[in-house]
Amino acid sequence: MSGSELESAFNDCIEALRAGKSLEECLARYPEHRAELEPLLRVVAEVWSMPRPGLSPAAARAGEARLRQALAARRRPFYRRVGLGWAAAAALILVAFVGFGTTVAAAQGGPEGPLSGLKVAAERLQLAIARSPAEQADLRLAGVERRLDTLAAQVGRTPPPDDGTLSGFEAELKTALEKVEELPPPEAASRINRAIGLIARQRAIIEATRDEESDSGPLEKLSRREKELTEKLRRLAGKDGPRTGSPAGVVPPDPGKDAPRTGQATPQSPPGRPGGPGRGR
Amino acid sequence: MAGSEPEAVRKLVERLKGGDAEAAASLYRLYADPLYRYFVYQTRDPDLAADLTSEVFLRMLENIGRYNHRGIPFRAWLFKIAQNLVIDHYREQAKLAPRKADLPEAGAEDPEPADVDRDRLVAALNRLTAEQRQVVLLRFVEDLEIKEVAAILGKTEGAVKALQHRAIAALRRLLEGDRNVWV
Repeated sequence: MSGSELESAFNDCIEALRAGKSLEECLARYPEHRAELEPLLRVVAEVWSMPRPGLSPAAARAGEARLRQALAARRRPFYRRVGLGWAAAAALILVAFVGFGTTVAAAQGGPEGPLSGLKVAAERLQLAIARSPAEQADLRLAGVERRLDTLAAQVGRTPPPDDGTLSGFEAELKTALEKVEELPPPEAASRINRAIGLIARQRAIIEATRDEESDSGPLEKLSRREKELTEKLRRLAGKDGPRTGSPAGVVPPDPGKDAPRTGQATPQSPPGRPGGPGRGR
Repeated sequence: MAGSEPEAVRKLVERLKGGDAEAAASLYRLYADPLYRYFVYQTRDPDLAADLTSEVFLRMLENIGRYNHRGIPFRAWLFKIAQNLVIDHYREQAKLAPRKADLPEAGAEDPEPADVDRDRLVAALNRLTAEQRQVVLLRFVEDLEIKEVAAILGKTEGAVKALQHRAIAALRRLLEGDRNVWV
């Protein structure tokens, strides 16, 4: 009996069990492989019987809220995102109208392009009329996001974004975060969350541009920064503290329902195999 | 492959591309728990697993414009994102050893037989290679199809079938070896 025959019999039995056949029905099809097949299928049955922990209700709510917040942030127009008043918005519109043609060219040229000075001047105007530290922090973060948009547009083009350009965003983000850290915790939390999202975007851009020979330094630096911000966010949310018993976020399995059978498990179909996408709530 | 994806999921994805928040929330509720389980068994850190689960959906938002039903099923696409996050996690830290808190200690009060079985199985799962553990989690815990697992792992269906057989055979050897120790 060849290894490939056993493998084929094993895979066939897996599909048969998933379709509702019994262990005996499966083994009866391959009597010559019974001695090897049966212990393998019992292991599969044990795995099928493993606990299936889920997110705690609080963690699930928090995750869904974060998703909704991220989606809402993408939908809001720029001036609403940074909380500008009508007068300030009008001033910005004037600046944008006067510099429309050259601003488009500057965007196409990228953050380091020949007309980037105009964009920098526009941003300085916005910062000058920003009324509060929160608005300043939002403007800084919005500036980082615009640069990421420009960088993302460069992915796939020749030449690709270089490490100097990529690390320049790290400096911009650092400046933005300095403003965020001036804010009280309730106001800082959502902005830290946003910064984490920006870091994730930047990582995705770097990953899209690097190859096997690329230096992994920028990615590692971003990962460290992301971890620091996530920890800070946890502290702000009051999640810090030692783990006890059932850690937050884990729903302990119901011993009556989820514990594997004692002794030898009898292979049966996987519990509650959905015809649809999953075991949602 | 894409034809096996429920039509309801496809519609939710199309609505999500249009910025529909309720569609995003529905997809979250459909897939958050399976992704969380995947991360728990990969990292053995429930808090980290919850954070990574949330991160999958943020990346989903960022990249939904590029997702195409003619590629891989949406569920497999999410698990592909999850796989990349696990790889990133392991690149940042050394491979995590099994946490002592999850294993019964010698001399502790006699655990229930079910707890011993569960801990033994989880410990054995952690001793598989990363690729073997992936296929066991995706195929037998999350019940994904061969085609989906192949898309996630970047392998042919034949390779996945071979891998799942090897993985279960390895798990069997580990469990039989451990049974001689635990008893």
